[in-house]
Amino acid sequence: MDFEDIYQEYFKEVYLYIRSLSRDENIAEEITQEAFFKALKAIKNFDGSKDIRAWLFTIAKNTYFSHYKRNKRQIDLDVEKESGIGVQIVNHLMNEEDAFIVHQFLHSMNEPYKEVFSLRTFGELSFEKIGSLFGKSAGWARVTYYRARKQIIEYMEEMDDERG
Amino acid sequence: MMKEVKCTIIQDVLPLYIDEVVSQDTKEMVDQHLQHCEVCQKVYEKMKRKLYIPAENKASIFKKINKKMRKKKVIISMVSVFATAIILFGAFAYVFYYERVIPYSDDLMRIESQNDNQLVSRYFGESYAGVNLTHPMPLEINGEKKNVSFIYYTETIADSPTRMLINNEKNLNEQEYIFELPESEKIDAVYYADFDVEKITSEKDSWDSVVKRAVLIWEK
Repeated sequence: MDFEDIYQEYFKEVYLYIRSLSRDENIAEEITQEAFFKALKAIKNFDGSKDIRAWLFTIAKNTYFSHYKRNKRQIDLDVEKESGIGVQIVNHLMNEEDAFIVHQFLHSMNEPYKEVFSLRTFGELSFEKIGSLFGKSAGWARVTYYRARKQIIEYMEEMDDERG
Repeated sequence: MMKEVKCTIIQDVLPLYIDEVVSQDTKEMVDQHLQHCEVCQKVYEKMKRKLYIPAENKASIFKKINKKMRKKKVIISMVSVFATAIILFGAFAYVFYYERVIPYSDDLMRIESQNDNQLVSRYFGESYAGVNLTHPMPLEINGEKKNVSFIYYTETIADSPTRMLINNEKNLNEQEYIFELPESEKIDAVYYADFDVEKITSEKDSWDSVVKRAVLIWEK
């Protein structure tokens, strides 16, 4: 796994995240690429205290803002973070092999569950924004998110059961 | 009493119920249902539970990246060591074993007849890598039958007439290079030419064509 894999793995999520801010597909793609370029240069500074998606989203968001500052355009800075999303991202929650299995599962979830879950959990976007990204309602995003959660909870329970 | 609501409907609104974005009526409906429906209670408990997931961060990803990079590095370094060894061996072989024919020059090599009619080839260069010569063989040259011997010297980068590479001391080898020609009493002429016996035995070349490109360096 190298940076290209990270790019492959997270591009879509970062792209959707920026799409939720800019609503312009071309700009979102451009910003996403620039963000990954920045992330590549800064990868040594990634200390691992956050989840990598949260880190990538932060870089992408900053890239987006500085892009607009450069272009001297007005944008709404209402990216207020949602609180109480019911998911806690924890370091050293389990041993590394198990953590890796969980990560694999998160990556293997089908669209739109994976994207919705990621945008909600790591991007802390509102259901309204997530819904509109997919051309759906906030209710749809909420239900989808809860279904994704359910899949993850059940998967992790199964893992625990297997360990006994 | 309200009409009994189906579990599927309750479960559909549970996300909204948990997030507290339902109307008072819906909230009461769900509350009522949950009081007596164990199945939906379980679903509700599970859905409400805080989900803990391991952070996908340096510890997990970068260890994997680093491991792979290290593996890659080990492979790359092994490959480069191997490649270097091959190149060095190639260079070594090239310097010490790659033989080229020394072009004829009359101040570098001369055929001389010694007292007992023994023909010798005298070499005046600093060094050479090898000398190749043939027994005399009958060949027709310009209509005349002659017993002809062929000779050529080879050089490598290490061993050459000038011996640039390993000639530390001047005139280290004062010895002269003398090589006796076999069956020299039979020889009518000696030619200097590059020849390959294998080519001649496989009939890709012939002594007749060798003699045409050869230099006559001694004649009776």
